Amino acid sequence: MSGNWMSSTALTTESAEPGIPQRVYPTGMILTLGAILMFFMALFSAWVVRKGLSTSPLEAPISLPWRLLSLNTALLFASSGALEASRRFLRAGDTAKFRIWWCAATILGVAFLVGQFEAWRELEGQGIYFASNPDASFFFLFTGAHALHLIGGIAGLLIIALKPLRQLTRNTATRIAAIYWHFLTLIWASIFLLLIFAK
Amino acid sequence: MKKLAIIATICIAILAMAAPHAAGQGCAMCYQNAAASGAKGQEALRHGIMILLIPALALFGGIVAAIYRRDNFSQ
Repeated sequence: MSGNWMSSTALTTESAEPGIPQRVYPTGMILTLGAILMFFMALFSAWVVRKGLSTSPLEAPISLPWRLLSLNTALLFASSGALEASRRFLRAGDTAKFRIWWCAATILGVAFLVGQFEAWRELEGQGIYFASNPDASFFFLFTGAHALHLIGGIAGLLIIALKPLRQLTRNTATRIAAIYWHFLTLIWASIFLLLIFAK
Repeated sequence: MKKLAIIATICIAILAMAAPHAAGQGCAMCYQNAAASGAKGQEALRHGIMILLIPALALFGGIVAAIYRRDNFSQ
């Protein structure tokens, strides 16, 4: 396939280099997600144990910018929804709407990252930094690790949108990108719920 | 199928034989630290272990189930 595959001509032809079966890619992505899941579970576990062992009054929970975090959560869910809508239009063969929704999902993902950065700045405004308190350390660690994974996801969305694909068909590429993106949305929802329960 | 059942039985038997060693593991310092952490600390350690154990077991079970299903599908 040559040229930008988001262009209408590229989208009308389904082509990938022969050799590797397309089902290999989603399997590889699911196995990768297993590793990422265990990474976040290790952080959750460390946090639960650290909170349980905490005895000092100096280690009181920090006050988080809940309104901003809720808005960010809504943005990420909207991004996941836009990605799914985009895939639906792709399956229906509506390339114009597919492009619009794919870009919308990417922009919403970037908006989520900007919102998370703003939450960090709000905490810093209150004098809360990475090393201020175990709760603050874990908050920065959770959000930072999630943001790094999300930056990778945004890079993936942009690569799919802008670069020609050689070994993947467009359906496989959008499918594995969507699996990764929805997984990150669920991870963020888990972090958010954990933060609420730990209040 | 029969071969898989034999392998599973052997694995379970090996694990059962290893159980007393599993229960006796852990260094003295870790044991004393855990014992001295109080009821709240011990509960937190239990929760921490479960948080690590459940997804790992689910992933392992999922992979085994996927291999088993694919194996049956290809036969």
